[in-house]
Amino acid sequence: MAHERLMRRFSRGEAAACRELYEMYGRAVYVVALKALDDRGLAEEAVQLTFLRAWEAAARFEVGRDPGPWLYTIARRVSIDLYRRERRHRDHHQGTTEIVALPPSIEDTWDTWQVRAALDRLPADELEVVRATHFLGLSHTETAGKLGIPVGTVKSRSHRAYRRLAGLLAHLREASA
Amino acid sequence: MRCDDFRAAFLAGDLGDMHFAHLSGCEACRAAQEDLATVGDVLNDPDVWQRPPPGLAEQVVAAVSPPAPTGRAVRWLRLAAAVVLVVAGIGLVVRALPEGADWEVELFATDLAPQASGAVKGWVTDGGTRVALEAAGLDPAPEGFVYELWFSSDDLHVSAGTFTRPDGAQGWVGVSRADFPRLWITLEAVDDDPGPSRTTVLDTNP
Repeated sequence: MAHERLMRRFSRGEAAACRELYEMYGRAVYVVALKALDDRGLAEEAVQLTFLRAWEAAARFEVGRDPGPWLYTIARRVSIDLYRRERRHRDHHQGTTEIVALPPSIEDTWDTWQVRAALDRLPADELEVVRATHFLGLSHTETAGKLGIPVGTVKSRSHRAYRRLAGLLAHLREASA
Repeated sequence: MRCDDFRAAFLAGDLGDMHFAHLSGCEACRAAQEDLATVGDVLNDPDVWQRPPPGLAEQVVAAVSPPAPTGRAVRWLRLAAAVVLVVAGIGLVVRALPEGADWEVELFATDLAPQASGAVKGWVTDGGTRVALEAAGLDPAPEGFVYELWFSSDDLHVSAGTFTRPDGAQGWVGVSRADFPRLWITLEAVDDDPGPSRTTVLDTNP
């Protein structure tokens, strides 16, 4: 229902609704674009284009649907277009005319999208434990020291976080966009 | 043991004997192993933990909803309006130039304005180049924004003027196209940023 209300406002052209949609999915769009393009500047451009295209197409969006897969589809398309544009420019300057093949990283972006979107639904205290483990490579003891909490609390937050992630991502393949 | 506990332990990389015992008797968890391994791989990918820069939200909102000019922006809007008038004034002179331009270059649509098309004609003068734009498929610039024509060579960008209505806009630039081969048009917020925005609507090299 929250999605439906938001997308109804978005389709009416409310800028505040665009900001809310960005708060929900902006990071996932950015991460997908970064994964596909491997360039922060291009990823930022992809984020702007994705939301601009969503904005332009909002009147045709069925407001009862989950906007996540819709935004992902736009973000992937935008990333592919930007990738091809950059390759054409590079080939033009090098005087080559090879057919532009897409990088394998494009194919993995749906998994990346779903995991990032699930992470963005975790409570902040659980998210920071998962981040410490996977991004910073810390043990539970090191995480406890960094966050200033008991090791037992790290373990319980970690277990809750992974249970929640497993639930949110239970149908990774079935939910293909 | 519940399936949730097994799956949490799998993602945590913390499987013990009791988890393997559960797995041997649970077809659903055996079927879920591939997906769980994929989730683990993505969690270990540094890209998934990156954040967009803080100002990107404002740029996104500004792109979809041009803000009403206020305060300083109003002053810049007046300045931009004056520039547009100057460009229009030059246009009267350009129309008096000979029919044949010294050069003409086609501008191509970008992802931001896929319906747009255009061409720029140039007349070489002693001090630079007079230019005239013919464009189609571009709406007048929204309130608080102007279009700007750029001559560029790599990362060096020189403005040939701003305008609000793309078709028939005319201007002048103190450089030659031979030295600045890329011509492109951006949509610019009326502000104190002198450089081109990333909102390109027409380009010789889209």
